[in-house]
Amino acid sequence: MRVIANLNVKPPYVVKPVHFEGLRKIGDPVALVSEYYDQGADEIFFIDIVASLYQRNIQFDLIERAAEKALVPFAVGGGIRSLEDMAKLFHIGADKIVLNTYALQVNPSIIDEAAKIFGSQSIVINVEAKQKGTMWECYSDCGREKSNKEVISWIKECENRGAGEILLQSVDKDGRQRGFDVPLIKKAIESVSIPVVVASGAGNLSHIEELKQVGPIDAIAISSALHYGHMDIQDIKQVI
Amino acid sequence: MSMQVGIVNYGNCGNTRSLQRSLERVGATVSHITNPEEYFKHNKIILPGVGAFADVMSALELCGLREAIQASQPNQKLLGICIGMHIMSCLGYENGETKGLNLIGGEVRKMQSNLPIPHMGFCPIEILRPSRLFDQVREEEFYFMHSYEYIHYKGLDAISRYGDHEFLAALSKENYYGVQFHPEKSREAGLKVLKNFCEIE
Repeated sequence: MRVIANLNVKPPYVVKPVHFEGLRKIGDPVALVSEYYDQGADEIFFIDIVASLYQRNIQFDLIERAAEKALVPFAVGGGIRSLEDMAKLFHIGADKIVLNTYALQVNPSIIDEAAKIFGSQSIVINVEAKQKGTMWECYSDCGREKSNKEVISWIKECENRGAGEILLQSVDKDGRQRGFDVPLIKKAIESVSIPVVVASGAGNLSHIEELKQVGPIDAIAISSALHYGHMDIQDIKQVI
Repeated sequence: MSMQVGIVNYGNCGNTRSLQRSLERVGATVSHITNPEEYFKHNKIILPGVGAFADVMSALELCGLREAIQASQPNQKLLGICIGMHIMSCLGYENGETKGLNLIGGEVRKMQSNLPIPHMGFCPIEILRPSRLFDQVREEEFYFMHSYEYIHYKGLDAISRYGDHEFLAALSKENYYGVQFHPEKSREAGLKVLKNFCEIE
């Protein structure tokens, strides 16, 4: 099971929202990438969570400096709207790119186009899932915008279009450190045959243990628990 | 010895900065190869990872590099990483059939596994015969991210396993080397592999 450090960034800081709101400053992205690399992260995700929300440009300089610190795969997302954005990111230090808003709300066929050029393995789709009755709806723009798309059918569509991985976040559980949305995770993993990176809700090691009930988990992405020092990556690796 | 390394430019794809940074960490001087003239000035050349077979081959065709690479001299050492290794084959089956550079034979087809594909993560390798790339490599875990694998190969140096499925992790033939994993993103073990490549006489 991969252990991924998941950095939400509101340039120039790493931040941590709760339920995708109320951005609390955590620290300098470059220093945090270095810290989590030293702790033993298998990968690092760097996602600018305000680029789509506030229609800002991708901060290439900051990404370039942060990427330098990671001798493990560095996935970059936030505000990616074109193949040119992706190409530029791969040339400044990204090893994977992460899409949400543009693919979900504007043009899903960017997934197909990206997979043809960059290969499926480097395309991650970030899914912000919010429970609605017995199913989950996809959100974008840092948990703000609904899509009227249902999570399970969206992730199947992403797989068919050539996405390599799903980053599965839960708007309901994110930032609370009270455990993962296990029913969501179980449903998602059963629905696709591409890797699902499980995120949102890890607060202590028992939450990680609880995931084992779901079945084989490909990867977990941790934010709050790392930022607030409740767990470090070596602790997590002991229990998985 | 020369630690001057050229990274072949594919146009849009290729995680070129990650590779450049890792090469510089092991003391190499890096340049980017965009045409045949530049290609023949280098003795150490890397075909980077992150790309898709058909698109990479057509990018190389467009700038004349396909022919240049196929006309490589014996003193030019080539290392292919992931897709960079895949295009050294005869034929790739990603999005239809595409001819490769045909430097080392073999074919590239979709990974067979009941585990999730693409295969992602750090994985141990088993070294089957001595290779300059693995000199003094103590740690044997490297980062893999791929949906495709090399088959019908010769010159097998190392294998890896994903669930029950065994697949090629590294091969070499004459002046050509290939690795399925990403040495530029495999911590210190990966840096050692890159350094070893840079130091090959």
